[in-house]
Amino acid sequence: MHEMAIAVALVERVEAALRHARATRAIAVHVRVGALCGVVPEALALCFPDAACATLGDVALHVELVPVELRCRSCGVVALADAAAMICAGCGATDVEVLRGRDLELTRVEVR
Amino acid sequence: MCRDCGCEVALDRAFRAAESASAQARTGDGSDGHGHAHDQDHDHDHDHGHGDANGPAATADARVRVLALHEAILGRNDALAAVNRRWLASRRVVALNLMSSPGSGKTELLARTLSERPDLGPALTLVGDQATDHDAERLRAAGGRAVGITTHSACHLDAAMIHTALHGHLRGDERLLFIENVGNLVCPAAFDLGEGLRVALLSPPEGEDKPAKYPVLFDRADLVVLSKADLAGPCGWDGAACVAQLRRVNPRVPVITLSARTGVGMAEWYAFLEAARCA
Repeated sequence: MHEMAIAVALVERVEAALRHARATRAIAVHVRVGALCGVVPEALALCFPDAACATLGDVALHVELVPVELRCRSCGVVALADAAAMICAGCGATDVEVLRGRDLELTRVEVR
Repeated sequence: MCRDCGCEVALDRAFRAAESASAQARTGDGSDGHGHAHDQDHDHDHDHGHGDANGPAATADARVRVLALHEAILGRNDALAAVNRRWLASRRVVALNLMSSPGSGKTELLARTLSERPDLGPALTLVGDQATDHDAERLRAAGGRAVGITTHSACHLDAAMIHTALHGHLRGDERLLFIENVGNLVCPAAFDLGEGLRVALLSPPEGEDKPAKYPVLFDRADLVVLSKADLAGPCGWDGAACVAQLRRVNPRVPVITLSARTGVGMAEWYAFLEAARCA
């Protein structure tokens, strides 16, 4: 389960953000997790408190799930897709471009 | 600072460049408020790594500020991977990251390659496993240079492990770097190592539908090797069905079916390596 490594990396980024903002405490951390980024949101949520407790203390984690969104290079349709079926919802073509879903991003930190 | 590649300096620069690009990309992004570059509350300059460039937003609790960031959580790994990639490119080393379940035949494929085709040029293999040096020993016995990276509790290799190993073991005359990742179809997919090519392996005992079950790893592969082809019959494995599953996840990836035991398909693998070396 690599989510602990992801959680540790996330805590480091939050710590740095706190330093730069000269804030003393993080209250909530917001992340975006794409369906194609290889991270299980539940596992990340399970690991995060343990990764955070030593330096950040008690901090809430909010996960925004990002679905896979494809643009078809054949017919131009933009639509959501299943990660296990990277095909155009419009015409069934497989020549598609991934617009969203690879995200693994720290988007916001609420600080004091 | 490291004498070989100046990595601390390079990493710092790469990291700041990535952050700066990300700060520019979000300028004007209405979703998180206005995207101005300066904020009265901050006396920092602009190559720092942590963009509160959108400024603190007001909330109900006056003491609470919201820092809008948009930072890659694995940004540090990605920056170090970029350093590895540049470093290898500057030495004309082609790096392949081999990923699969445990037992898909990564080590057997590399052992045959190293013993059969030394003419491909000097090669270094880095082998990740949670414990033991067994695979590195097998590869050394086959005549290759191989170094084990023991990951202990970690289920994947990361860019820092590769960076350290390159410092310790890359001679500089290599043409090929094989990275045999920890046997795992999930975790290695999330970590860029700085490789040039991602190779996913899959063997008949695993079934035909692994690409559908583990799309993230197969989605980003530059080559898929269907290994242990000699087991297709005994396992009742349907190669065409497997490729059909794969095509739904990664429609245009090249596929090589081979057996490192019988030698079937090895010529195609060597042709792929030769082409990669010349690219």
